[in-house]
Amino acid sequence: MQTQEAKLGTVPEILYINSGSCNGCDIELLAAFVELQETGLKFNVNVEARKPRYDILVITGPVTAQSFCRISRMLREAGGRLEVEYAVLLGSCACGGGIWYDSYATLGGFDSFLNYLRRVEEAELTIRKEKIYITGCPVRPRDVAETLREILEKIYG
Amino acid sequence: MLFHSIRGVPAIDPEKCMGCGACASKCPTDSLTLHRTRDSILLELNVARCIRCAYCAEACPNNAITIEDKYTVIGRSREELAIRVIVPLARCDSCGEPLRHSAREVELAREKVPDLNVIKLCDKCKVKRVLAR
Ligand code: SF4
Ligand code: SF4
Repeated sequence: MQTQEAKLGTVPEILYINSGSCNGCDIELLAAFVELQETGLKFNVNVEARKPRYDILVITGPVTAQSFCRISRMLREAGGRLEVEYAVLLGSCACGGGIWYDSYATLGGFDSFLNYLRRVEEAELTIRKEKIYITGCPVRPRDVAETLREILEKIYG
Repeated sequence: MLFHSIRGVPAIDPEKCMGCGACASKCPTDSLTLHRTRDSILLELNVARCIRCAYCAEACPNNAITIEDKYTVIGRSREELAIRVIVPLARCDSCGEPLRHSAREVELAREKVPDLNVIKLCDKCKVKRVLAR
């Protein structure tokens, strides 16, 4: 992996956002990270956007109204424009709103969040390559690890 | 696999489903929705939102839904994650117009109650028949 890292010049950056999930998917994501460590592929995990571009966005939760304010503030503070190469939506909540899809307190998943963001805020979130839906309630660590490994291998080339 | 899965994605048997909508009304996430077109009923399962609770399988009166031994489904779009079943509606014996219930519902009713006299007529033809008497 050393040579691949040197070739890339940097380590892939993962931006991880919990948009009000019940922590089920988050715990499975931690387990997936542990499994990924064993593959030897290196990556950084950020819980806050500090720069305009990330390689992978991992999002859990149905995007609650509170977290919508928090995420849009984070995006504005990061310059108003955020670009990610891949977006990985974890769990039924992020994929389609889950059991809260029509609740007044949530926006009903990542896709509606993107629509709201376009309409309401000045902030912008662009997915450059692929959006991957991993469904399940919660997701299984192995599937998350497999998907992230595939993406990391694509990035490493 | 270490553990046999007790939860999984529901699979709808298109041969058995009669479009009654019991599953759709029981589904807590409204992943299952029933749409009516002119001559058929469309049952749509949005796997992206489904939480694998199996309430739909419990509700189905014709056991058309089985829980698969597959839990995770990964897709690139929500369109890819949708499952659709089309159930044809029964037709009026006299004019051939589609009725409100599906052909399979009529079959099942005939099967369960053999001496039931199912009148397969649309509203207009029923009125016509009554007036002709
Ligand atoms: S398993 Fe539960 S959430 Fe999924 S379609 Fe059936 S009733 Fe709806
Ligand atoms: S799957 Fe079962 S409950 Fe759902 S519409 Fe078909 S027959 Fe009715």
